[in-house]
Amino acid sequence: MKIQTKSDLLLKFTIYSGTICAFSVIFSILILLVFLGIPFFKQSGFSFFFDTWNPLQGKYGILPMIYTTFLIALPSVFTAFFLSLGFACFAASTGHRFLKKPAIALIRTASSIPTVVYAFIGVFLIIPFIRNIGPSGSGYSILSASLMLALLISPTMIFFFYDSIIESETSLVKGGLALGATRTETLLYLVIPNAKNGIYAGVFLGMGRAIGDTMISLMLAGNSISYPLSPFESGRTLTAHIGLVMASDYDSPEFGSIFACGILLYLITAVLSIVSKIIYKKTGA
Amino acid sequence: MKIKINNLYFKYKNTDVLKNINLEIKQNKITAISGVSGAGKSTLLICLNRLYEEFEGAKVKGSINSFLDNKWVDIFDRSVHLPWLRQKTGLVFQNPNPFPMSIEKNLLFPFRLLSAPKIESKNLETEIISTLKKVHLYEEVKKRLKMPASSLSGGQQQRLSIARALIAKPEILMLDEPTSSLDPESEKKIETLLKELKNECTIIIVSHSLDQIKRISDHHIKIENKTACPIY
Amino acid sequence: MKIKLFKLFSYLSFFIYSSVLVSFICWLLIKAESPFSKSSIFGNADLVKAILLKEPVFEGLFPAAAGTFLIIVTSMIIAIPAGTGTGIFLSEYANKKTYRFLSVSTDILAGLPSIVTGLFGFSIILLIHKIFEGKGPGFSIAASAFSLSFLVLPYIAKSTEEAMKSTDKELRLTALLLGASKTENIRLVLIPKNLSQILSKILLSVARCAEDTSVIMLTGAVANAGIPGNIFGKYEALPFFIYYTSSQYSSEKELVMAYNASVLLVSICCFLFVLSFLIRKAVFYRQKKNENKN
Repeated sequence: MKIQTKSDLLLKFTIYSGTICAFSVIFSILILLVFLGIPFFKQSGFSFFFDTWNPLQGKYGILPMIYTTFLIALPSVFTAFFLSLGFACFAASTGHRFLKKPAIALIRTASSIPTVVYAFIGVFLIIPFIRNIGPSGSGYSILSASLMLALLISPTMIFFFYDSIIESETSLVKGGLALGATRTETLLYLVIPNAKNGIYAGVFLGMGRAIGDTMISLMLAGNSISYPLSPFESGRTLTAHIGLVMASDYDSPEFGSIFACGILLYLITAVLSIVSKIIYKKTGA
Repeated sequence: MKIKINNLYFKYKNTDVLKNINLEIKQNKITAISGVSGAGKSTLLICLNRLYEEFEGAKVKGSINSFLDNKWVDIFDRSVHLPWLRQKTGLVFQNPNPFPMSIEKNLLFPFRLLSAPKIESKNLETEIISTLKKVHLYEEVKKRLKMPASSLSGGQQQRLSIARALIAKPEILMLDEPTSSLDPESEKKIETLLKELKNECTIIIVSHSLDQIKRISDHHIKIENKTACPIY
Repeated sequence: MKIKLFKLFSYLSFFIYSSVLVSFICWLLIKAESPFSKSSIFGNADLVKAILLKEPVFEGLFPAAAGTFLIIVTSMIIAIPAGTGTGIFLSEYANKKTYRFLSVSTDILAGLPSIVTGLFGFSIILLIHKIFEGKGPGFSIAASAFSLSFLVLPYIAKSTEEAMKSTDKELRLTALLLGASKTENIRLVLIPKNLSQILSKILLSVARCAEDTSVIMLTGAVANAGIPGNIFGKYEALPFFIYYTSSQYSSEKELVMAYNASVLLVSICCFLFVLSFLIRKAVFYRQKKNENKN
């Protein structure tokens, strides 16, 4: 007795093929990267992941890029965390009531600005500034990239913090105010501890974005393969490495290293997404 | 006799909701079901049209037979065509829920379904008009049939929901607290139209207002301790 | 004391962030010289002839803007059915186990850096070259659109799922009561009901397609290609133009073009965000109105 029209069949087809297509891609990304990387990994084993970069000695390890990636991402998440927490508290609670709405509108605008435009502004505003205050060098440095990256990931984190603060505030503020606490006191002692999980999740999300971002580190960090020690030195991240090496000879071991970078980035961000999801779920429960 | 329920058990996620229900529901009468909230009134209704199948973890045991299309039908029989059963046993919910389309299209919705059996009808336009007249809505909406149904008031939307169930020619019409979200005036209108409708179909209404039950019902069944006790 | 310090801290972060951001935007607006004028977009070419692709545009942003437009359209052709399809599957068809598995997978895909998605597209091109020995489609609009669609697919899927799940519980069952099948319920009631909400999120993903640079630079965007005749050609795009010019500019004139391109790109993205925001506001307003009625 089952009668199905053409549009019903088309809908079912779209739903199932869309789902299959989406989920096959998630795994085929990893599989394809490994598959194309195998010829290179065969030559040098897993030294790609643990070795340093020294083409003269035939070493094409991505250790310097891993180092630089975290050296740029961690300080930027650290800066963005305080900036975002303060901003979110301002917009959600402590701020002057005439400034709250413009603050949110500003964040909406900020989140709509393309990454490449952030990086472009950085090239012409941050770089000369760092060049002037730094001891030496061109200004293309991990400090420039870190600062700009903090600015880029802030809107994401602010929205996350703002939402979880608002959510726990509505349930807590009345109780707090009834006990005679001021609004700021309630925020500091009740709301923020309660919104803790949302805040952690936001940090992990921001971390994922900071590690995965390409354009800012590519355009601002200077891209020299090294272990920068001072914030004014330049470095190359995993993402920038992929962007830069793709133009080289397709059979060179140098080319193989970008697959190592891709696999590593895939795994790092997958772990971060899952962790952030688990933490966020706990808030709901 | 319209419906015979024998030894009906209903389990949801391993908790008993209904136990050992034996009931007979008379044809062309209004049967009211009452009980405290959570007693399982609505559950009884969704057994009658097999809507429980849409909920994961629902299990039934026992038997329900309804007299539909001049023959007794075992409702839990897998070979019963589900869309047909659901059109013959209409259900209207507590809150009015018009579809996101015009008033006219809302009413024509059952005709658009190709998986359901074809509803006999000579002329769609006269069908719409006569159904709207049955629920006393025609005079109020005749000039704006093409307008979105959400533009109607709450009471009008609820009458539209009843009309939408009626247009599929049900033999049994079930209503789950149809007036509890409405103002007293709309409530009165719906009660009047239910009394008129009982010549056409058997009506089962869930309600927790005893006044309402007294006003309109011919029979009253109370659900208590997970089972049903007829009162009159 | 602690309280006061905290208040000061929140005011300070607000002022630092907003002053930096506002000054950045203002700087960009001052530097750009009439980004929406005819000469900025079409250069010296004739307007009508340029739009009809009869005359190539050399000193304007038209080829880049057209390239961006083309990849948006092509990637949406793939991303919209696949994304909404996945979303509907997640909310209507998946049982608990598959749901958990699939939902984690979408999260992973959503968190993936765009450069990895780009590398995926790049790897596929490489694979095709290996299999067909240098023939077959390569770096092109099609390749970019294919990769970009997987960048935005998880967003569309997640928001479709959320929208579908937000449907009123009774409304969800009403069509079934009238004898509709599951697909009819989805097609006639659930999708129309949530269409505007889904649309608002699709607009956001269009903005993501427009702004993304790392995917397109790995899959076919180049500095000088003009407008390709079909989707298997290399192309120019606004974000790539900005990236390329920032490091390779040779004259002040080229730099001004990059400023113009930045303002143009920001305006496009802001426009899409505002449009999406307004749609969501309208939906919210309508829901409120209906709630008040009942």
